Amino acid sequence: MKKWNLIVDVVKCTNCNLCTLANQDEHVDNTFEGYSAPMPRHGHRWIDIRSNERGSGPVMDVAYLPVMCQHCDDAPCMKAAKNGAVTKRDDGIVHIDPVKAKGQKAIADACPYGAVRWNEELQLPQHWFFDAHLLDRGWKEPRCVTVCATGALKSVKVTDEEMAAIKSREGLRELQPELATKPRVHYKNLDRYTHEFVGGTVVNTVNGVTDCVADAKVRLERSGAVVGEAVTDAYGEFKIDGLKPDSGRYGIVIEVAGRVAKRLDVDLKKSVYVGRVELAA
Amino acid sequence: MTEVHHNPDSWEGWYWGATHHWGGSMRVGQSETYGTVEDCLKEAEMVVFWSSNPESNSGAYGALEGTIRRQWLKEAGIKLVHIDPYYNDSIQLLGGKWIAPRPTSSPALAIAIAYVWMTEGTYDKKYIETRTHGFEKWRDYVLGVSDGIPKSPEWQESETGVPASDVRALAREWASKKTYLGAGAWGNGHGGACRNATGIQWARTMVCLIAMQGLGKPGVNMGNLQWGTPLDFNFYFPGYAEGGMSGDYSHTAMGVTLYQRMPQLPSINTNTQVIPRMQLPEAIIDGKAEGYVWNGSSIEAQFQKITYPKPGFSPVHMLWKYGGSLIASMPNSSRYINMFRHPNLEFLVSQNIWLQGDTEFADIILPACTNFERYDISEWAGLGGYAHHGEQQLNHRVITFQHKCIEPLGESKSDFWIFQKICERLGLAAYFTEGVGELGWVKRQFDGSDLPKHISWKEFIRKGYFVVPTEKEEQRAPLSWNWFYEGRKKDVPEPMPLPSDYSEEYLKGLQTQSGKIEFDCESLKRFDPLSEDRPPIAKYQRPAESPNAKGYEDFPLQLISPHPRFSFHTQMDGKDSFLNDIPDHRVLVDGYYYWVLRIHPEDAKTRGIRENDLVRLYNARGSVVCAAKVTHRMLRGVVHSYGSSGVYDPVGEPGKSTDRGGCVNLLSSSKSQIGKAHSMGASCCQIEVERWNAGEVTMPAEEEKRKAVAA
Repeated sequence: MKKWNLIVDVVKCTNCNLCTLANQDEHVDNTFEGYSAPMPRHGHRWIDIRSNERGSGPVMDVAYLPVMCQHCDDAPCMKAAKNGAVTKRDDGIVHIDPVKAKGQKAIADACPYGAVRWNEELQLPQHWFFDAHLLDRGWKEPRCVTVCATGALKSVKVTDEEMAAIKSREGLRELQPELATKPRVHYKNLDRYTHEFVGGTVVNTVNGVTDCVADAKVRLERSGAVVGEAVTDAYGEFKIDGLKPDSGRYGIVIEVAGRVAKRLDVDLKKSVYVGRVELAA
Repeated sequence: MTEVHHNPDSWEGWYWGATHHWGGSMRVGQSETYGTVEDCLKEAEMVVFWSSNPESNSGAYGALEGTIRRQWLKEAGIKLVHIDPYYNDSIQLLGGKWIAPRPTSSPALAIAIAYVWMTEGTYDKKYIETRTHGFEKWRDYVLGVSDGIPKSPEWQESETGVPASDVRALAREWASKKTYLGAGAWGNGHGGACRNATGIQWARTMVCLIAMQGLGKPGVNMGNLQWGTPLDFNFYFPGYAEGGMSGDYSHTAMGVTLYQRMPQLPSINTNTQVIPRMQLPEAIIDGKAEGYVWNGSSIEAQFQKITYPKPGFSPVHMLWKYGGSLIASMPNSSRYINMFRHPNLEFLVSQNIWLQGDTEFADIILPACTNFERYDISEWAGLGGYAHHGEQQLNHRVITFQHKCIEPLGESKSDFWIFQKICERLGLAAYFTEGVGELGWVKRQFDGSDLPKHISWKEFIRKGYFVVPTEKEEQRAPLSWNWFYEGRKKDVPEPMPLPSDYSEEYLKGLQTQSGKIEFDCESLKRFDPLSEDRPPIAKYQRPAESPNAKGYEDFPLQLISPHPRFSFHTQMDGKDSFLNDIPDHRVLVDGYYYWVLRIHPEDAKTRGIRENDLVRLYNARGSVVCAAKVTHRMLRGVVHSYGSSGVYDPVGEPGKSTDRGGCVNLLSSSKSQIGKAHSMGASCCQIEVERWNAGEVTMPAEEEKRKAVAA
């Protein structure tokens, strides 16, 4: 049985908001019998884009995280629903019946991702339902995927076995694995959102002239073990990524031409740019 | 009828500056663009994005078509450098080295890069010798021979805030790699730093830098992959700048190609009195204004002075305002509000789709319908004129028939209908319409193009669009500037410069007097050799309005106000559109959608400002409320807010009270970048920011200050 999945590549999202706007274009003022009631003009972002800024200038980055209904196989909203208002379709899509769900705010409250919105005017829980109304008419992709210019959103209809293979091959992760809801939305490069980096600039002053030091080897150490490595670029910059937030003290060792030129310590809470490291000092 | 004469708003520095070095007046001083996508991806090893944020600006017309090409840059491992005081959207997506000079200081950074190349001998000496003119004079300035100040990386530190070590590293990497220079939003100019007080200096130094590295050599060119796709340029469809009716071939690009294919009656306005747009309020209120003309026909055309009133002409009594919003998009725009309300402006007509900004000041509003309510025809990104072959920012040429989806709503009517009715009352209806309706004009444009060779009129209407087939590989446009680099005759498919502008022989050399890239500009030497604000060689001068400068002590923050990312000028913003829900566009606070101000965490902290706080941006010119976004993406001392809000919403008397719609151009300066031009330098100004209490309506202390400065 082939089922729908959405793959979100965090590195490719640039916050253009086309997915969100296309979704509003599709659903504001429009009713799709048997599928959905109109989305409110404002205040609902069925596809919400969250952001995470790491570090500070010049070594920093900004990641965007599109969050929508995760189409969980073990969906908390289904458990909270009465009268069978929320069902799981054979193709994996979670369906909220716009008639049966009326008045059931518990369905919206049950979503741990904040992805089921409460429509105050219609007294309805609403969500991004994978544009099932279009897929059932032969569309190959939901609208958010058709408008995504960077390839950050990709929809695939495969068996669960095939999806498991894609997940492990591409290193896909769940948004909040601790919730164990078996989501059908999978994230690539989620480290940009969940992990931290240490960055810096290596410079050296000779005869009063300061220059960037390229090709310096930078090691990150913890309890004597090397936990990360980088080589400085033409601007003397390095960035060692994939560290856990609030993970405590690390040693930074800078090696030039095979010799240790500098050591410094950093206490990592969030991503940090340690600044310009002057070898001559 | 007197024309409100535009300044080259998005091109300022290129038109008034760069064109004197390399010609290109008919591209408003910008570079040729052909074949650069292929050449960049094949040959280049590095791209420098300088004040260039294509992921936000989308080439103004190209949606996200260029994005995939820039993703290929990343996949191909081509090194990227971004120079911008804001950690912009292109850096966010593409990564690379971020260098953040203070706004308006980029010319100093550029000159210091040239200093490194000159002192280390890492530039194309043969090219300088054979393809350029007057290099020695610029070299003597850069090295400090002529003024005793070597423009070293250390020299520029105090201006730009960029460490000298970064400048040396950049200069060395640039010189050692085949490098594309993407300057401005289009990569060949347009937008960005050319619109601030040193925009002319900046555009000039960009030309000098790329010339030193051999512009036109494979892998060395202007571009950021926004323009330069391989398309069929032999297929003709007119660009929007080519007009389309009324035979106006002096104020449009109609004469370039369209007129021969679609002859029309000249219902054109023959009056030659014009008012420079940036001085429109002074022209109305004080009765006089001065400027210089925007005319791309030759390099020297811009030396023509405009004076209003023109001898023998009537002063202006009435203004017909057609579309747009001056309050949102013109500098120091309280002036325009004062003009709208001034008794000298006896009558104001506003023809607009939206009740926005200026519209509400009109005596008569003529509500125009939207493009969904009338027929039309156009090519996507087909600009024509000064942006010849603008469609080359797309991956395919697409020409669309625009169906009328619904009848015009309410009392609104199409622009054609409105003009037709006016002409009827003037007894000119037949002359204006030529006996043809709206759909008939669309058909005439169809017939004037190459479409009928491929598709019938009926089939085109039925299908709604036509995708121009890909050109044969042997017909592909040659690479821009490569003809110049190799000493061939000009062979790129643009009809400029016009024949009389070649010094030596038709198609041989550039439009400049020497036919070469001029470091020491002969045109400027002829016009005003002793000019201090635009000398014959490119120099750096700090602008009068800058941090800590006299008169600006109370306004320590530099506000940059680039083209907006999510809206286009005032289009799509406000109007209860979906964009209100994008938190990087507007933020909902207490039931009102506020425009966004970006501020560095330290600058926010010293002012007690937190995320989403309402803040007041002010200087002696005005006062605007925004919602604060606290971010490390800003350089310290610099704040950022997009330049053209679609909402003007004064809390008290219009023009004299705080605006909570977000029109930050109420704060910008109307001073021309240089004296002998009509050039906006408004994309950066000095302001202060403080927390705003919603109850505050007037600012008496500030009113006093404004009277004192009256800038």
